Amino acid sequence: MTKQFTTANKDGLSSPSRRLMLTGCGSLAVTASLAPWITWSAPVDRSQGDLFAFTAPTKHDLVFALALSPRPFGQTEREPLTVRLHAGASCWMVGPFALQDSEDVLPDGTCLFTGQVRRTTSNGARAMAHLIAVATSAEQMPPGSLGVWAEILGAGAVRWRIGNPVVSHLLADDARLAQLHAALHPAMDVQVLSAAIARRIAALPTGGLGVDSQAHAKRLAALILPDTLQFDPARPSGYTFAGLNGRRAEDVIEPVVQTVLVGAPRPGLGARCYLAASQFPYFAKAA
Amino acid sequence: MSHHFDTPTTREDPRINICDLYLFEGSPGRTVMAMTVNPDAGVSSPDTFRDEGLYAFRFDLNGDAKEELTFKVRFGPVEHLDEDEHRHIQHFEVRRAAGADARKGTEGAVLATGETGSGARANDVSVFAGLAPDLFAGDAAALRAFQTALAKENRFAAEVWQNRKNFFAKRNVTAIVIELPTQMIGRGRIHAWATASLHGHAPEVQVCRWGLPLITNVLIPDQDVREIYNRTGPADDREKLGPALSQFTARVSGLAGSTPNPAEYGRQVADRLCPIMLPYELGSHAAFDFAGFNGRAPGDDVMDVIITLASNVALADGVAPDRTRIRPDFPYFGPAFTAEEQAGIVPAQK
Repeated sequence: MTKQFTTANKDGLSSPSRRLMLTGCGSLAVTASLAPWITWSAPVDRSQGDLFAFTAPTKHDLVFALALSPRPFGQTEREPLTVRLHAGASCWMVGPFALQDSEDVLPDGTCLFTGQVRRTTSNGARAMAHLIAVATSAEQMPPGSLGVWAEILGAGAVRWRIGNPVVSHLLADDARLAQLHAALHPAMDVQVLSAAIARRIAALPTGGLGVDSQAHAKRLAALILPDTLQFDPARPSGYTFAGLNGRRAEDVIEPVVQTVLVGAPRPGLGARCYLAASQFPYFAKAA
Repeated sequence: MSHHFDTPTTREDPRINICDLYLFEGSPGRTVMAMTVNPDAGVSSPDTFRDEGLYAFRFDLNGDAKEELTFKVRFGPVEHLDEDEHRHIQHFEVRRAAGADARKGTEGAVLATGETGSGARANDVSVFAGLAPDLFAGDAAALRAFQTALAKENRFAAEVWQNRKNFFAKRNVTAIVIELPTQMIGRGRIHAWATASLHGHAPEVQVCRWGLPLITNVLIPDQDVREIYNRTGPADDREKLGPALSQFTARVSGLAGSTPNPAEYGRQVADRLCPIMLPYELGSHAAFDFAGFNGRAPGDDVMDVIITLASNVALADGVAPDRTRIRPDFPYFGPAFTAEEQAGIVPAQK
């Protein structure tokens, strides 16, 4: 089933040049027409993108978002990207997305935002990222833990996906494994990637005193595959040392990711995070 | 230490002071549960078990935070071996109780009987009770300095963890180790905790509980709240202990500046820890680490996990369990440290 909607500009007037199309992608999808591209700033971090899932601070909404670094995955500025955000059985498709700010409310109350947001890099410098965010009523989602992941479709049928931050960290240094990973659906991850991911983890220098690297690698690979960001909306959200339940804008995840990876505390790592806001999209906009 | 000397009652009688609980897969198809008491046994504490004590491994099998299955261990009076007053021996009895008997009392089917030091094997169940090396590792002086800075200076003192001295090195505890076929517990994901109760002429009174490492020593500074923890079961933890855990970790993470929203972090900690029980997927590789809590193996360095969780800062105390004292097979605890090996260690301060 396909539904069509006309988006509203910030002043509330509809603009026929910017149309959203809702299609089924599991349950829900949104596409936006191509708009003028902004100029990406220079790459500042090794991460290509960041995935978020959290409970909205002011409403009983669940927020799913993908922040993309400038020129993610080697794409040029003008190559259109389509993004599919998956949360459990639900899916929202955005694309080829407009990089200018766009904020819309769909008939079922789902909010959609695309645009630039602010973040800080590992060395504390200010930077921008492009965000695709969806906020939907918690009542629309099934109870229990959701596997959240994003597909990014680029020019020439190129595809990437982002899920668990620990997996993303491992893939950033292994182009061949990243290529294999990109071609898979998460349902295939355990079967296809377990051994390779475990090898990657075991090859890392363990920071712990006497950590059994092989046992740690095998156990961790089983925990992080399939490559999804696990999020149980019934529990406090955050990718912190208190729990790996979704991820909020302000979470500083590098120390957590590296500590989980090596099985021992890794202090003194960078403070890369996004700046939170109190209103949808719950990220501080660039403007 | 994860819980050495943490309540007035157990400071008075270390024999009922549960220091640690371990839960892991032993030989294939078998699960090991181990409880240690008597911190610094033989030096600051006795090397015996209390004959009015009821030592219990409790298992929640259905996720209701109440025990459906309990393994109970009781000891007889202390006797002297070969009429040597320094060589103690006690008879023990292990029972398996299900249903209502799991919750209270000493009832249950007898699984094994034996004597401390030599162990027992019956009904495919292996039991050891006696002096053993303390496999816990932690820098107690650093923890004390950390807590002092927090309480008196309202300061997050990360630098204290550079001390890097394992207070528990070369110290002993007394351990109760039971290895049995996993199906005698059940299957799938379970939750465990240990209790020590007094059960003699008076009604049964629980005096000590161990659900997760360092809950009291690190995360509950308030003595009254510690007593609530030690005197109750996990079913009411969210209500009775959640606010204290949340408040404390919000304060620590706030002082550390490790989160822009300390209150939310505190809520996340309380949600993670309550009900306070050790989760374990039976038959799996046990590990209590940063990736998750799944049982606890003897070599797990739990101190780093808990001080990091308390602050949302990657903290390491720089010491780890003495793995040379871990055996690969039953009873998994290696030989206790001898008097010669313990030469020069300072008695633990109560």
